[in-house]
Amino acid sequence: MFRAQRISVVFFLGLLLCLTRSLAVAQVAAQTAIATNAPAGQPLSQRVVAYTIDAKVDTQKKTVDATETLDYKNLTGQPLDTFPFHLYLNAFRPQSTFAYETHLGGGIRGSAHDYPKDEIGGITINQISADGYGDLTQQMQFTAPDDGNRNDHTVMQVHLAKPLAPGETIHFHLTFHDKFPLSVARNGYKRDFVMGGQWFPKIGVFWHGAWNCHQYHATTEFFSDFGTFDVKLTVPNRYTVGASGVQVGEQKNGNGTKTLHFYGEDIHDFAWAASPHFIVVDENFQNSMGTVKLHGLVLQAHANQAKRYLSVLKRTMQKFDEWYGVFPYKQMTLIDPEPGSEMFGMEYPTLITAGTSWWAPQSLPIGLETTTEHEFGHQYWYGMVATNEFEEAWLDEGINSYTEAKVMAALYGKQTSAIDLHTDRMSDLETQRLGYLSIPDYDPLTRWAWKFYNANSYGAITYGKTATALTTLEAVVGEPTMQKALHVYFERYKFKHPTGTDFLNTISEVSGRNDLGPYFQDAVYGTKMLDYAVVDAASEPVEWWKSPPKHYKGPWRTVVAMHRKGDFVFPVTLEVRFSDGSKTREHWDGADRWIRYTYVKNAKVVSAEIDPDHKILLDSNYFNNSYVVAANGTASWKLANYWMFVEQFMAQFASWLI
Amino acid sequence: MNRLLANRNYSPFRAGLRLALANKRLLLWVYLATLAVGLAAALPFHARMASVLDHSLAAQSIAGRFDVSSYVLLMMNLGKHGTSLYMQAFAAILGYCVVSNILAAGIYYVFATGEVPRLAVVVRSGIEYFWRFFRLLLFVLILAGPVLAILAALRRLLLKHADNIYVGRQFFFISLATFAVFALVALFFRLWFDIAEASVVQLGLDGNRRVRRVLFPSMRLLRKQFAPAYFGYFSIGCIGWAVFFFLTWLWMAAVPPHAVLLAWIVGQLATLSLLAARIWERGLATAVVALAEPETVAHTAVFTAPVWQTIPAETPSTLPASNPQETASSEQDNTRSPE
Ligand SMILES: [Zn+2]
Repeated sequence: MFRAQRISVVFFLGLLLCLTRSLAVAQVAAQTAIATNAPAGQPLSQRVVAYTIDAKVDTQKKTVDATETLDYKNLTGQPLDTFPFHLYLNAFRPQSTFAYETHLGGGIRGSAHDYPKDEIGGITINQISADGYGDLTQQMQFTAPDDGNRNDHTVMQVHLAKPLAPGETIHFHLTFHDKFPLSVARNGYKRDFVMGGQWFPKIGVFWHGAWNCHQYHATTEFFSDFGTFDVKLTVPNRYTVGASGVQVGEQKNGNGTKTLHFYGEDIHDFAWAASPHFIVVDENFQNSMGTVKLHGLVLQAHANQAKRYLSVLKRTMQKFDEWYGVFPYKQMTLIDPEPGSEMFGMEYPTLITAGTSWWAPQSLPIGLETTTEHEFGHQYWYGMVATNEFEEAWLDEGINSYTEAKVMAALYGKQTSAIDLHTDRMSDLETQRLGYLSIPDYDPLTRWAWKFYNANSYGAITYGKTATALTTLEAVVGEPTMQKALHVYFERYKFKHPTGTDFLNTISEVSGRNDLGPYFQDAVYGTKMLDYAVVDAASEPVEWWKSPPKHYKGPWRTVVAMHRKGDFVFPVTLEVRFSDGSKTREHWDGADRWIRYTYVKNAKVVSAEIDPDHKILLDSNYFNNSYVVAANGTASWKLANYWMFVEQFMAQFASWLI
Repeated sequence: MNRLLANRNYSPFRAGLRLALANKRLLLWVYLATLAVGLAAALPFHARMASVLDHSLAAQSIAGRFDVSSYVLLMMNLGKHGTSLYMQAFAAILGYCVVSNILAAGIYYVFATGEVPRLAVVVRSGIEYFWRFFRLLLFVLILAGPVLAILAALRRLLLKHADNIYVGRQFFFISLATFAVFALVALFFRLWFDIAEASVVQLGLDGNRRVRRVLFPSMRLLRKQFAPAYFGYFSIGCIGWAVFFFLTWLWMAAVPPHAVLLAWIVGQLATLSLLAARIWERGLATAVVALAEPETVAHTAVFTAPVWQTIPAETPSTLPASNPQETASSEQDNTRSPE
């Protein structure tokens, strides 16, 4: 056999082998895309972690006993000898940083004044080991990287005798025990409903050259790496369970329990909810990647609202698909949590909790619809674009509040997307602005979540100001450009951990504007207030020193003046209307503190209005944005009438004893 | 005695209505007080709102279909002005309570005597009984307060327990039912003290200044006529609230957003409905006292003969069997223990 022949035979055989192997890999890969509609089943994210958990849920005692295997792949490019884990459930003790911060500055959830016994919860790791490293249980030590509180047990770390080399994978094996608190901060149980959120030891994120594993704070949410979750949950037979990912198996155990098997991939957390009172409502949603099963688990008490849940979920998905990008998972699970619990309105990858009450009318989308929309929005802004919620909460809650306002306006009307009563209305966007203005200038958007002045400021700025500021930015770059910028941001950073700078750079890049720096400086990094006012709008005869004849028709000299009351400089438009029906628009860069315009016309001024198109949402006071020469008392008398009616009612109520 | 009370065939419900209808001017006086309290709060509020809204295009969000966020922002921006407006509103309510104390006594006086309900009569008699009514109010608080507080605590406990089991509509109805029980007990107290107030005035007509020792005889009176009195009282409350809710619904549903004057009229009619019901209730309480069986009166040793002797001659059958000895003993009793 000639050498050349041998070479060609070897080459041919090699080629065949390669082809067969890649076909086989492709086949395996196709089979392994269990929970996503990824084309050819390829991973959508860089899978750093793989969790396998087998958990037995005691729905009587509200406890979990579980074994966990965590495969952690060192993709950091450097050796790692320390591994921190979040033990979030340990926040629910009076000694924790979470409890103290809630006591000090309030919390989004939780009681500020005492620590009720039944709200005590916790997680205990009974044993931890790693293949090749032996038993690490004695190595475990609690750390408090944020505030040094030794009694805060929400972060634990283990130290390895020899470091894990770059590219290597370590296999941790843990057994742990959860004690759920009575519903607090999205967690625990209410009646016979159990919410498994932040319930297992979860490793931190090696990010920007260091471990990022913050303690659980009163106002913070979460941050973790993408990977796969293979979870078995054993519950009583009468329970229905909803979980992240998809259900891949169910086994009856013969002792009154069943084991449900779930699998999730390209997600960074895994949550579940269990109740014996769920009714199941399923629907399908079709997008360009395939079919998404909308899996609603709604309490029997709210059965009348199951359709509303599914409807808003589907319509929201449609809008996100249209505006920002495709939803790649096979299933989206919606949980209707127990009324009166703190489990409502929370996002987890491919699972959300919404919330309603049996009487909630459709004319108040601010309840069920807003919550469902908001939590679904987090599938994009948190679920896939997985920003650091501890350090840059505005990137998930804020961007999500902005898109919430947009989607809600599209679905329920621009002015009526929060309240749509016969006599009253309110838009979702206005609820955001209202939130912002409730405490607008204590903190910038970019402050780390637990460093805000208090929980109210955190909420006002993170949700309200971000939504308001991004909407105001539309006045500069245009609404379609903002939509495109968010689309690009999503596509570019899905399944990654971008930062605020990445987001702002994307806006600048997409809009082609390199002059947005000052706006970002004030709106994002600063706390300045924006407020413009019309301070003068009057006409007088040009020859003002003469008394005008009886039917004087002009010429009139009109003077209109604007005052920039706040320190936030923003270009504004002024519209002046005259008695002959004419109107004129002026554009002012707002750099000085005030500006005056003079007109000489055969008509008098009727009104002057700043921002006539109502685009500058950051303006803290709309009422001083305009001046109408002819007074109209309808609004003031209308309010006085309400005030009077309520006063009279209160007076009668107070005097009922007499 | 008011001749309208002479017909013993009338139920307290009906007799109370007759009293209220025969003294419509009382409603006018009470309404004027309520109007005054409303204006005392609303005028300064209007002045403040007018300075912000009357020349602003943004006022459209209030004048038209009401934008809740605009209103909330207005309230948030009140700042110092807000505190003073709330204080004024609060002070006006306190003043109203004082005036109500006077008017309540005046109403019972007019009902008991049948005098023409001129403002001077109402105010004069109201002032005369002012402190007696004030003391009665204190007794009300001492007696009803703990009972209602215990009931409220029990209700909270029960609801806490129920909350562990029931959700949604079921829990709502449990909550509603327990509230109804609480409200019915509170109503019972209110009726009792209305009767006590009527009794204080009845006694006062004879120069008897009893207050505290009127309470238990009033309870006996109530017990004697419990069904007609309590259900009548309950019905009046229901009628008043039904009209009130209907009118407020009408306001919201049918009055155009810009029609401020029409809204004001409907709102005032709603206010009037509660005031009218309250006067009717006081009429019922007066009737319960006046229509008491003579034996009860004698037995309770509270109501003295002269009151009954003023009943007109055309209804002799309704005259109580006056017992001079008992009357005398009653008067002795008065002198023995003045309060
Ligand atoms: Zn959120």
